[in-house]
Amino acid sequence: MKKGVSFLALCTGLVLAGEAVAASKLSEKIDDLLAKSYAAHGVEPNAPASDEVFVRRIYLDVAGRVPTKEEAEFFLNSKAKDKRSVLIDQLLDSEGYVNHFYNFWADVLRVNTRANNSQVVFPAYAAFVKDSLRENKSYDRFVRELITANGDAWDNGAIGYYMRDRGMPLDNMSNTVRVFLGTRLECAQCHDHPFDKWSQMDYYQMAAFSYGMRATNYSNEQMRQAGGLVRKMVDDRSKERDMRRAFNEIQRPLRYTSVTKSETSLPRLPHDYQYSDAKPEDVVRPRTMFGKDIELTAEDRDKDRLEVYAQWLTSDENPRFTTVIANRLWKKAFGRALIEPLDEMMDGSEASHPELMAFLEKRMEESGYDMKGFLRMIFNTDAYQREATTEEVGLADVYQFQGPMLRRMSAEQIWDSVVTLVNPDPDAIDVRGMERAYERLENTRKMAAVMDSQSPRELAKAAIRIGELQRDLQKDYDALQKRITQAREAGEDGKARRLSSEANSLRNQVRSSVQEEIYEPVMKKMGEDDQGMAGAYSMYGGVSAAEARKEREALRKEIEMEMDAMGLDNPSQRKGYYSFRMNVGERVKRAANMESPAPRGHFLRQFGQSDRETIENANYDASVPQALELMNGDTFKMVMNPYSALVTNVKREVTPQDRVDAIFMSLLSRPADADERRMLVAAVMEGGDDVYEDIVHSLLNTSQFLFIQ
Amino acid sequence: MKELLQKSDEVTRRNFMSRAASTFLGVGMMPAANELLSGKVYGAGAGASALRQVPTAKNVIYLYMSGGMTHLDTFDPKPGAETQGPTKAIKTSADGVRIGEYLPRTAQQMHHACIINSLTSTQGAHEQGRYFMHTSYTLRGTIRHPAMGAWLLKFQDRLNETLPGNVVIGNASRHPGAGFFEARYSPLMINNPEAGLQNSKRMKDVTEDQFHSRIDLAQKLDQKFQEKYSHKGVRAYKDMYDDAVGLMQSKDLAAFDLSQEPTELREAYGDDAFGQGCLLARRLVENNVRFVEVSLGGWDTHQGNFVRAPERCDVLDRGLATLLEDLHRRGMLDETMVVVATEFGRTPDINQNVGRDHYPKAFSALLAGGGVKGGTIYGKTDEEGREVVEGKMEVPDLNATIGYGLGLPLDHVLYSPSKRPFTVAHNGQPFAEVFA
Repeated sequence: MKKGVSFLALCTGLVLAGEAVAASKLSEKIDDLLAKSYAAHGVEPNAPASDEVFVRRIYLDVAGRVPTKEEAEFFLNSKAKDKRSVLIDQLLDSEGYVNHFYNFWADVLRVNTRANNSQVVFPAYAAFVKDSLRENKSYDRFVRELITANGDAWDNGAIGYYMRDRGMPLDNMSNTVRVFLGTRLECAQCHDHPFDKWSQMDYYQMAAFSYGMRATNYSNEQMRQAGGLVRKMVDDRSKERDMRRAFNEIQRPLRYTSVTKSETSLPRLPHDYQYSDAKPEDVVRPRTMFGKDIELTAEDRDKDRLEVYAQWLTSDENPRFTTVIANRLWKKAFGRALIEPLDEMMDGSEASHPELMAFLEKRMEESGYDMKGFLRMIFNTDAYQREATTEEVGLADVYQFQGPMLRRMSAEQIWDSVVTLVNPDPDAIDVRGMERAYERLENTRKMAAVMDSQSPRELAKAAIRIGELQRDLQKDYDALQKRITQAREAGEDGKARRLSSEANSLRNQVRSSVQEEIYEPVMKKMGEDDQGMAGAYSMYGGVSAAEARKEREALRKEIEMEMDAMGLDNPSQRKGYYSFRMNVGERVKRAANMESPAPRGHFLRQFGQSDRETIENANYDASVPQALELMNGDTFKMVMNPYSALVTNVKREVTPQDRVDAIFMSLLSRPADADERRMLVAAVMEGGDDVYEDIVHSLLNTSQFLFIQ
Repeated sequence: MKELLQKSDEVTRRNFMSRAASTFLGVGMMPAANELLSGKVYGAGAGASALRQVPTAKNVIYLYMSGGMTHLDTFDPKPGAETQGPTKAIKTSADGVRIGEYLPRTAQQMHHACIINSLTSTQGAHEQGRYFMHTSYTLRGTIRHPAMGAWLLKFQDRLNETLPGNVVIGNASRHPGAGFFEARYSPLMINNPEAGLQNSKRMKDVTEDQFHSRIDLAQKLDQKFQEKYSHKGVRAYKDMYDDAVGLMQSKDLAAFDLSQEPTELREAYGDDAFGQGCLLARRLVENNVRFVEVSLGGWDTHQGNFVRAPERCDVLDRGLATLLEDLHRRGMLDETMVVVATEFGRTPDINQNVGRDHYPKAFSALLAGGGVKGGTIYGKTDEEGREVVEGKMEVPDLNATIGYGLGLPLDHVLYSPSKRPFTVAHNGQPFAEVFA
């Protein structure tokens, strides 16, 4: 397993020194602006945060997890003067940044990898967001790619943006305006906005830009023609419906994989439109609602509506676009934006610190919407590097940014910190998961290629074949059904149940016959080997058994190699390690590499992970199930596994004092203080080695562990 | 905006302010005044009236038939009609009330129940239909509306300080929960009713003494931190641990322990997650948990309706009939409203797969207990079960009727964080006629 990259990153940090100087000037400017404000309001800034507080905070804020024991010690022991800014750079370049900011954006964009046919399009969407973060794609380009996304999932994961609001183009526009322009429009969907100036007409005009986006199934010209052909080839009208069903069955693996763009589709006003500027059900043409006034008339047919929309949204002439992202990232660091709520701006909205707001906006623009650069600037301020404010700041109070606010970790930060206590390489890229998503996409692409390779006539014939097969199966089904009724009437419940399950398995036969009749023969002709083919069809609904076996085998080999490298030769040790890696290691993945959202009842959901149904829906509230989980649940067992990172680190130490410190360093990124040490070392002397476990349990159940100071 | 807030209905406002500091799902998050002004939900006076009907029900057990329960084969049989298929109608314990033959046990309880045969919905897809049925609002991409259990707690709060007020049993993964209300109104989700409350027991190898010394140690180690940061979020975590330890020792926890029930009764409820869920629901209600939903899936009978509907009915029949009988015997039926609901009915026309497809136009529900007039049928469909011809009830009306039984202020407007106005059943009209 790889060790920390600290040394390498330190060297990289030196190369970046030139950049760092420029960045530090900008950070100073922010501190100057805040200093003026402190003076004007008679506020004392907080004391500088200690290295212990800083290292934990910056890991959590950038990499989304606590530092490992080695990482914390490396930083605390370093004598380098610029070690803080070097660490900031190192973390911004780590995979931890990708994971953490993916979680952040997944909450904003409602990335739900479990939505319809998610096995294809939503993992691709998640990968698009991660890739964009990894390459530090400029924010304006990121947004334009989302807004203009169309095509097929295997070519463009960004189509998840429209797939997410499939069938709800008006809601999609409201979400776009809220997320990227910080303005709430939902009210105006049904009537003029009661608290803001937007009219229902503004709303529909805005919606007209993206109204032509359709989240749909993969289709091509042959498939469209085949439908008509079937109708001609089947003489019996009553069979037509069968054929349609057969066709759907053939198309099923390609459901919800594509977003198409219609240049002509425009919204109509609702039937109960009540204002005098237009009549109900009038067609509405695109027009922007603020910023630069752009109107697309019937003569503008050659203009790409979506390009116009995306350009307008992200242009310099639309200041709210910049204000929102600057605020969003500032809030990420300090816990409070300069304009709150940041997604509910009106004309009268004023920043708590107007001069600072203006500076941040200017920086965002001048840097070309460089998100990492912006974060680097903020994290390097004295203000960020001070102690957290000890008093609570009410939602209605103006905050002076004497330091960051005290924040409870997000559900993902807590979970990923637990992962860090278990897994010695918490930022490792989830190669297996990425490969699986990629393969699934590839397979779907292959199936689309099969559809492309067929003539309308071939497709129509195939549909007729499947239709007939469905009918035959139906006869068997009817016969079974009679026997079930008889069995039930005779009081033979067991038999009835058995026959029922037989009847249910008949339905799966249609699916496998589609694979055998349509996809397999064509793929064979196209030169695909057997394995690729079997995978291709079966994987659209999940991982095939063969696939799962293959993955397991690969993992087994990997674990064997690890054990050899570790020099584990005792069979019982090998067995223990193997089970740790197979069970704990595979289950304890970074939140960003799991389903989004995690299933209900999962640790992540208990601690408030967003259900990804509405924008920024995570919560940070305490609830009893959280305490029950940390006190009595599996978390503690995972952490105390003999091969966990924590236990390994504690065992490595010899004296009670060093062992206590190892526990503190792992969970809280600091050694025990004098009082704690005295009390705990005495307890170990009295109670023996069991006491270490008690200490871990206790620290895991403190607020200190859950909050970011 | 301020003006709107100042008109805030006093009753709700007072409830809001006096909410006990320790609540099961969201401890100690008692809203301070400033949070009321700028926090998530706003009580407001627009159209709010002080008038409330006298509640007849204290609790609700809401049995949700997920997938779309066929109305013709359950509560709205049409003997002799071509659309009926092989399902026969049987007599019940209520004069003149007949139901489908697959519900023989329920038939013996019909003197407690009111069948509604005139429901109609505008939503013909599962997710949209379920959402509409639970919230009275149509599914939108910009907001999540609260389900009925959350509305009940929002207005009337919990009765048991230790247990959650709102529980959902079964595999309802996309339940709207508390919607835009605070997280503390979210239902506790229980997948397996027989597993008890998750993590409520000490780990096996930990003695009681050891457990308490660990918790004491945690408090000691956290003391400096807690003194330094006097935040309500930090205090909430301290309170939460007190509550969690209290819950672990509470006798109320036994509510989750089905093994305390006699074997015969457990068997009568049915040896399946739904039946045991109904039993758990009764035990929870007995302990003053106010809203319990139990879901039963598998009603989406596009194929083989007459094979699969009887199977589903058998499960429903054991659970529902035993629940009604059990509640009645314990004298709890008067204060507990039992509801059977689903997202839509199924087509009267039988398709080529001997199945029935989605049919939101006309379908059935059942209400029993909690003041509901037993042995009655409300509303009517035509001879083939196609159209509602009498007493049409929209989905919000059904929820308004449930809310009416609970004494909820149906016209009381609450504002979402986006400041849009919402009411408990989206202006549905309660059908007071179904009450005795």
